[in-house]
Amino acid sequence: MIYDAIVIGSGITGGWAAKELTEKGLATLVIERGRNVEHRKDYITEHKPNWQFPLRNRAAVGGDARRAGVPDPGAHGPIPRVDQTLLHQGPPQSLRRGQAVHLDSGRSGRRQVPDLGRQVYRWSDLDFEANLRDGHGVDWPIRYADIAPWYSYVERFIGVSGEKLGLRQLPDGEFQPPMEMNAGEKFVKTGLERAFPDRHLTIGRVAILTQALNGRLPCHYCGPCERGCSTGSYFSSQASTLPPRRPRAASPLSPTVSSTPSSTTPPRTALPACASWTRRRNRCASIPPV
Amino acid sequence: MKELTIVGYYTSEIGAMQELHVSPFGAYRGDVPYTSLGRAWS
Repeated sequence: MIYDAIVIGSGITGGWAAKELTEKGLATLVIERGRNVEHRKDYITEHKPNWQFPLRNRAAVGGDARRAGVPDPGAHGPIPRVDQTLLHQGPPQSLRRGQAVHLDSGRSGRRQVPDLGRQVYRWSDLDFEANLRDGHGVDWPIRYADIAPWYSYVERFIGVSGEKLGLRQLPDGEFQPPMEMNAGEKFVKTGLERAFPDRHLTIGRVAILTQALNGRLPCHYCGPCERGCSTGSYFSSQASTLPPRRPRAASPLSPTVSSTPSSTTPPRTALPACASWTRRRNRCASIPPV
Repeated sequence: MKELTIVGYYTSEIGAMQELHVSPFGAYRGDVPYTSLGRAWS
């Protein structure tokens, strides 16, 4: 098989690259390491109640986790937690005495971080002109006006819920209706904006749908996003950028790309195909023949 | 001990399903009168 483009990594950036290249007609291969996480099928802890997890699924947090050498999810943001939950999904291991947690701290884990933090904020010219104004660093070669249409292009595809504020320092995007603040948040917002009229408190601008978009459903607020989202309510490579270009016959993330038609000429539309790295001894040992 | 008791109970099936109320599917209403809820959500 001959490819016009090879994308390394199927995260948010890789997924977008594969989507764009494929839509432009390039035969595209996506290479990813570790175990495959296929949309819906591999979200095997989704909607699973806490009492069905070992230690009520609280082992990854706090002292027990640190003593066991598991990265504290709080120290790294949502990414390792996503990995641990999505990737450590084998049958529950029995716990030995003195063994508190058994999470895979994830050498295979930084792959397919499906959703990042989902927070989506546009930069403004305060950012793009900052270097020029204060004389530090190199002036940005672009300004907000140059990139604003691309922000819109991305936001319309990924779906961003948020509140338009009309602020110069935080430009509005292509927003779906914002999520509602809770009572405590409204209380703080009211007090803050009364005391400081030029300050704002607004709900997070997130790549989580409040309205259906391209076959993805609005958020149903089950809570633990990191266990996967079969409705595709949060933006992810699995749910958003890779599937529309998935070959009908098989998953593009399968270790081989034999699902593509056996033609000497790569098909121009049924890609990207994806291959998985086999990872042994903490290094990429082999890539299956394609 | 108090925290462990509370966390243990409310993450159990009885605590979450019988005393509290759980559903993985729904809408989000951020600000409603507590008395309109009946059982609180787990």
